[in-house]
Amino acid sequence: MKKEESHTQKLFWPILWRSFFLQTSWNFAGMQNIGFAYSMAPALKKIWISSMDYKKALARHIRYFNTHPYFVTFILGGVVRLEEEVAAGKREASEVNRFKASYMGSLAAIGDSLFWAGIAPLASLLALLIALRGKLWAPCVAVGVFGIARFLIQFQGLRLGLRSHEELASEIQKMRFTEWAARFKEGSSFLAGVFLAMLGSHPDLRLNPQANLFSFFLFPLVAALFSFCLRRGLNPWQLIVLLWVVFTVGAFSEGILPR
Amino acid sequence: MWLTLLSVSALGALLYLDRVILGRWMFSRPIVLAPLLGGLWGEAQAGILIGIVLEAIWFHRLPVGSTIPPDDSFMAVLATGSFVISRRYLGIPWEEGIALATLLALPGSRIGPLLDGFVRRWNVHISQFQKEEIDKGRFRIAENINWLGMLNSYFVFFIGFFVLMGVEVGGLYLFQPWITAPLWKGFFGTLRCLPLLGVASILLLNRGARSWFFWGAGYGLASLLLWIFKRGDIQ
Repeated sequence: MKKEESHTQKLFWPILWRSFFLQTSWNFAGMQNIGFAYSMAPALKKIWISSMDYKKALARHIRYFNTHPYFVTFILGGVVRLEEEVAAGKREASEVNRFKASYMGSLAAIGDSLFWAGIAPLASLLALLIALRGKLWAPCVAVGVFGIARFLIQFQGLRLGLRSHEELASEIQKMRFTEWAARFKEGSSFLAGVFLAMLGSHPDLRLNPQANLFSFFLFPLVAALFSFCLRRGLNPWQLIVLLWVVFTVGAFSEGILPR
Repeated sequence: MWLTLLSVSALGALLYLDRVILGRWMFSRPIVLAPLLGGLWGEAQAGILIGIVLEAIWFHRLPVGSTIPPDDSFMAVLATGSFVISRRYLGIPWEEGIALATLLALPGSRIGPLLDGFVRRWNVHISQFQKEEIDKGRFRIAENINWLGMLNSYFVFFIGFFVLMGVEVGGLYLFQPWITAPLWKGFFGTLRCLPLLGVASILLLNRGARSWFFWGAGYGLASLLLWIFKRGDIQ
């Protein structure tokens, strides 16, 4: 038995709000399963009236689930629509988990590339540039830029998912996330260059006290060398210990380093 | 001192929840967390400096799937908290305190994932408990059991911060008088190289000739502008 379909549209905000807590009980067995069931609960209650039906529906969503925490709303919206169709007898219940399985991997890859490798470094670097000037409002920039991007994706994802689960793949394709990710990465590379230039003139963080041609080449060369070492398999830990040894030995022998 | 240690640990654990539990709104990033935590105890500028130094070191290690990358948020809480306490109660000098607290907090990047792994393993019990509650028809509990994961995580990290910050402050107190001038110089030099390591991490993350071109363009343009406007010291 089911209630009217339009009810689920009214649940847009509760589902969106609950999706923020997808990873609250992240675990190694079911990954985000608890959070997914928690996010789906208001919609399932509206779709399935009898407690037996609700029990079966809730049990469907405590199985293994893992995707990007912001892109989950695309799946949540689509699953709500699918559950409605299952309740109306148009589809089999097994299709719900097939739908989840088919989307979670690809959306995780898109989300990782867009957010962890694109927007997060960009937002951090913007905040770092402002922080280098000693401005205390620098953290607000990181939270603002990243928060707006995150909220927009979650909002739009749920909107599209609730509209249609069948056209979800083409809608996601239209949004050209991979191209956006590439642009954000280029943006963060540019800002990393600006950060490096500003670092050289920060009183507490510069390596060389004199601004000259030597210091102009020193910073990018050291950064490129570090990047090469990291790419060759050294981890930051080894580099940090190595740096400390070099600086300490240098200071003991010559006293060459500025305070 | 104990009250400050308790409150810094409590607030640090609260901000730390943002890292995984709340799916990240950036409050757990060192550049946000350190100034916030430092600012509440009157050390916002020190927090900013700690944030700049620690922010980008592990950017190339992405939290893909179930991997737990090195924990920069854990380091930021440890470094800022230890600095605030040791400055207030042990009278450690500003610059030396930042250098020592930050470098001593670096092992936190390894300890954080261990605690995180413990929390995620413990949460498996919540998942099993949820299944049982659904079978019993207790849907309200089954649905809201999600919050138990947050309590679990908060408790574990609160204890972790309290203990490790106590150890670090103790270490600062014990070792500070024994540090000679060349050792201090070694610390300062290492600290100043950490942001460069962050830039290297971003370069590694954005592989490809285009990224290197944009990086070079950003550096060249910003250096030129700084030179034209003769900014000198930025602060």
